[in-house]
Amino acid sequence: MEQILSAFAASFTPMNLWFCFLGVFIGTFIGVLPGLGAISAVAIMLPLSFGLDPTSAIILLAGVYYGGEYGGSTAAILLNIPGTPSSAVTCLDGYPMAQQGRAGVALFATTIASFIGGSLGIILMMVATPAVAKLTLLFGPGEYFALLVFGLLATGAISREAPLKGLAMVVLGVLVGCIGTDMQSGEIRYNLGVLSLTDGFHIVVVVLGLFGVSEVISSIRRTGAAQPHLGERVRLRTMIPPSEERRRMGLPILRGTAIGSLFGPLPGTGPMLASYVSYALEVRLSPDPDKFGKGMIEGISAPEASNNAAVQTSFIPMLALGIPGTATTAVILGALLIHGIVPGPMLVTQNPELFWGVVGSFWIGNLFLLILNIPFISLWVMLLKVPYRFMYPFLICAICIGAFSTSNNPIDMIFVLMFGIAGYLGKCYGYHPAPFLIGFLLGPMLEENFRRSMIMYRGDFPQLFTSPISGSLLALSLTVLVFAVVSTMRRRRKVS
Amino acid sequence: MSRLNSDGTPGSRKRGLAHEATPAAVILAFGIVFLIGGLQLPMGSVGRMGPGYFPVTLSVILLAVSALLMLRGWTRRLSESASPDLWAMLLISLSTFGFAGVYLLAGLLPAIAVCVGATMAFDGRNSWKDILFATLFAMLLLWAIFIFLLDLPMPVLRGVV
Repeated sequence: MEQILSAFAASFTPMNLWFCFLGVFIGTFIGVLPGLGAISAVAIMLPLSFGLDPTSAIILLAGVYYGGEYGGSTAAILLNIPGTPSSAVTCLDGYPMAQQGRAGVALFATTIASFIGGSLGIILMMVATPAVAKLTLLFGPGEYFALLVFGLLATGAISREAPLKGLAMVVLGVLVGCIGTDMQSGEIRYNLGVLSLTDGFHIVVVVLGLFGVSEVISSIRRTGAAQPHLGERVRLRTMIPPSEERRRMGLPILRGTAIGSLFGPLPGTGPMLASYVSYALEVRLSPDPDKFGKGMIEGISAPEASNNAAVQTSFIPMLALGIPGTATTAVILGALLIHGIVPGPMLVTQNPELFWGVVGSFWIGNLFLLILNIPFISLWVMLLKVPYRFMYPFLICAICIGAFSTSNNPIDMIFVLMFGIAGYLGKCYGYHPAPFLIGFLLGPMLEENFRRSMIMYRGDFPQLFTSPISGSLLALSLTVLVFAVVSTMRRRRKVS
Repeated sequence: MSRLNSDGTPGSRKRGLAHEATPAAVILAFGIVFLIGGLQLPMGSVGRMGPGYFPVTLSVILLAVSALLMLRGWTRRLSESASPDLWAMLLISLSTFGFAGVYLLAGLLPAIAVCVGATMAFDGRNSWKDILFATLFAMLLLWAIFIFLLDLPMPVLRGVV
């Protein structure tokens, strides 16, 4: 307990408080910009975290993540353009409220729901992460391999309209992760004679390209229609909902939090699906379902609580198992790997100062969101008035600086651009980059555990299926894949 | 016989091919490249895998998945197909190369100036006053963030600072 308290105190150092504030502020800033989500914000900030110690780095990036998720809702409410995919649901009732001159109330409801959902999510994370980590101490390489297969398949197959495309991206990501020196034999693979590929592609290069450059290319033409309600001044007095609406917010927030906490840790589902499910549940439970989509406060509070609870609980598999559930946690995982920290069962015991420091920072970050965002709403409104054609050259510069700060090697710039264009084209044709990134990050771990398990089993491959834990996990993976393919086929048949 | 889409519009096989089969063919090509590269590495055995074993297995899986995707693209009819924004790709490529080139020659501040200024000028939607203001603001802001606050070891002006 003493160890936990002292580690918890690590997050309260002035330096870490500063990084937490900076992360939340920058995350909200980028999240507010329509089209650029939390993942872009984390991608742009990733190279800047290298110079920091691991605890400060993850505090900064996690702050950017939940700040980005929160900021996405502001754009959804004020412009009807979701800043992040998970805030798309907030548009449904948030924007009509803004049109009715109640943007302040909608933003206030978002802030409160996010705070409550996030706080309860953190409590769950504090309890569940050490417990899950303890459980996985029983895992050997075979079990770990099966767990990674499950994580990869779930990421590729679930919540995408085309599971086969997701699967192709996962496999391609793992293959690209094979580029570089083989750790066991020292053999260089697939470097095509390029010296800087001896260690493979740097995570920063991949992330900046796939989630930075490609997002900028996608959004470059956006002009944004004039929104008359952006001219209204949002004051604190006008933000507080009437008592009847405050009363109606309570239960949806709790239900949203429960759904978010359930979906957050599952690989491949994450905040987006959680917010959709919680909205659908509120519509179903409401005595006035017809009023949804016309400015119901429940339609904002439930998905926002759900979204933020899912963001916090998505750290459970990442910290306890080393398996990121979302693309953003995958980038944060990459940051930890760069700092030489391998998340997984040993993290909580071997690096308690990191784990509890991060948990502490989540509390502070959540408080920052609450304290900062109510007075800063006018600033975000002002930011939304700046045309995007002024913004994107700044973002491109920040991406270039990030790429150069990694190794000062101009070839990295070419790789960033290459991944950016590939990511953009992929998105145009329905190949999302998130499964690719998760495959790229987990690929080396997958290969290592596969090879080690085969050495242990003396090449007896079926033993992976007969061991109770790995067998169950592989069966579950197969079920996920079959379910995803069958449900997509059914949906297509229904449509045609 | 022409099939209808969900919105009642007639679907086109040509668009289906362009949208589905072509990207799948690109993935298939990647699979072939990885397979050929992997086969040139020592394979080892299941019990003691060489560096080529894992990538070759994955390449085979990728080939199978992309072949399925191609097949599906062959049979699908779509009413619309994606049209990537070539102009945006070109603009971002030029500004990235512009930044890299000027940074290597002259340092960070000129690189920011060229990247922001040239990108906004080529964009065609900005007045010269906007370009000038944004360029100066970007130089100040990005210097403050990356050099002053984060202390990144990057040359601000090569040969000077």
